[in-house]
Amino acid sequence: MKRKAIIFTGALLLTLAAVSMAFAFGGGNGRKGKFLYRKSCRSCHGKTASDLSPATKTQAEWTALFKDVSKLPCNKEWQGLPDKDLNDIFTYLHDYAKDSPTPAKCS
Amino acid sequence: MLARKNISMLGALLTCLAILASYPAISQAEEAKSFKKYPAIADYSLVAKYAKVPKPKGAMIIDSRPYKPKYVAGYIPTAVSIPASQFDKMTDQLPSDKGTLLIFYCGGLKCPLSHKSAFKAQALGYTNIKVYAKGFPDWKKHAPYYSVGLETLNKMLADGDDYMLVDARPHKKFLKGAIPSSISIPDRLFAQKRGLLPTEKKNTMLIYYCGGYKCLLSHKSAIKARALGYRKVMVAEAGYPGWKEMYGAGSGMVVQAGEVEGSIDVEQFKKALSENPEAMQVIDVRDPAEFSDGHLPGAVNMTVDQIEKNPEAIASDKPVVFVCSTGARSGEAYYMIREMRPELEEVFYLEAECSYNPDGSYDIKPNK
Ligand code: HEC
Repeated sequence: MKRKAIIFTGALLLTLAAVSMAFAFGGGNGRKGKFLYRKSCRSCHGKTASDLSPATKTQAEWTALFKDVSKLPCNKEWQGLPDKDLNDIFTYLHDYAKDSPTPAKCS
Repeated sequence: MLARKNISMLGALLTCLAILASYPAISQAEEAKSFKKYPAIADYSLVAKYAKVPKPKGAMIIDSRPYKPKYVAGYIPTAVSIPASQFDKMTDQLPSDKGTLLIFYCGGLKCPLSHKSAFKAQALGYTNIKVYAKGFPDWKKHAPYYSVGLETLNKMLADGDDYMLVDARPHKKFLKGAIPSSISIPDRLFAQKRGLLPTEKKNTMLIYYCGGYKCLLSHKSAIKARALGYRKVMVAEAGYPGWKEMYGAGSGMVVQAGEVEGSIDVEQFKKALSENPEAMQVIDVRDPAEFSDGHLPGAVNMTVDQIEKNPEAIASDKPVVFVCSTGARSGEAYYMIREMRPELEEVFYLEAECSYNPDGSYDIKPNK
């Protein structure tokens, strides 16, 4: 019920704002995010790209980076990723950030 | 493990004292001489010729030690258990052809049981009898592997001992039902799936099984594992058919979901762990080093990386529960397996803070 209400409010706000950046991040499923990050991002990060883990950055830095994902250098690599999945990934990175209670590496 | 060793050492000590006390005049050498030895002796290479599957015709290897605790703890492959104390009652187990080669063995040079049984068989009219006088200790020293009874496996499972149990049958069979805590490495894919075996080769107990006494696959895999350098390799010859008969098949456990998506109700999990751990398949996704410092009874160790490489290794006959120390890695494993094995319906993870102790005890607190 609560989840629905949030999504609904979110949708409403978005429609009202009608901005180009399409998603408000936060409150996703961090457990699933850990898997999705492994699946969609670890193919490069940790191999051909920087070894990004939640603990690489602070919560504020993650929030800033995800404010406009179209500006991320690899954005076109994962264009097809649903916003919901990206939000789960953000939640994982953010909730286990360097300054979170439980900073996490990827392994 | 240590405790058990101490107890058996204490036992040995007490026995020695008892012997010394009752026969103060007999020295050890005299004691060894004090039983009549059967004249025809077999050595390791002869026994090895017959301790094989498929069983060579015209021979039978007989273990004269007590069934429990000796035989079940380890025996020469294909050997039949006829304890010396039960010999007269169990003569129907002997082959009807009196010309069959009978090889008796027991616990080594000081053990009289195999000699005693050999004389008895001779009296029954058997004409081709040998005693493998160096017995099981010698076998363990030279052979690539030995066999264990399911009773031993079941106890190790209940005690949460460190071992890796491998089903060498084709994957399809494994999916239909397997011994709890086992993983699937079909013999045919042995080389290809080598990466699933633990890296530690000296102390890891590797136990193979397949489709019962006539099945070759576990023996083949055991020999290959030994060739890779694993030192403690065993075969549970009775295999899955034997297990089903002794301990029953799948569980019928109905898992109650927890509050968080994909999680198991923590209270139900704890209850099942203490009452009926075999009803579910617990997969611990932490690193092998963490796992060997302590883990849940009956848990299998597979890291998320290993699962990703080999999602097929997870059986589907009972509910699967992933565990780690916080829920992070086990949650990751849960979402991964949902995607890689969508046909698996009963998959869960433990959303809880867990600590595991070397003695097998554990502490599980649900995450808020
Ligand atoms: C095809 C390879 C590739 C994939 C897949 C990929 N990235 Fe990247 N990413 C890069 C490269 C290259 C850079 C820029 C250089 C660097 O950071 O190594 C980068 C940079 C980033 C940065 C900025 C890092 C910083 O320190 O400022 C973030 C954040 C990021 N990626 C997130 C993601 C996320 C989230 C995913 C998965 C949805 C992902 N990337 C998938 C290649 C990739």
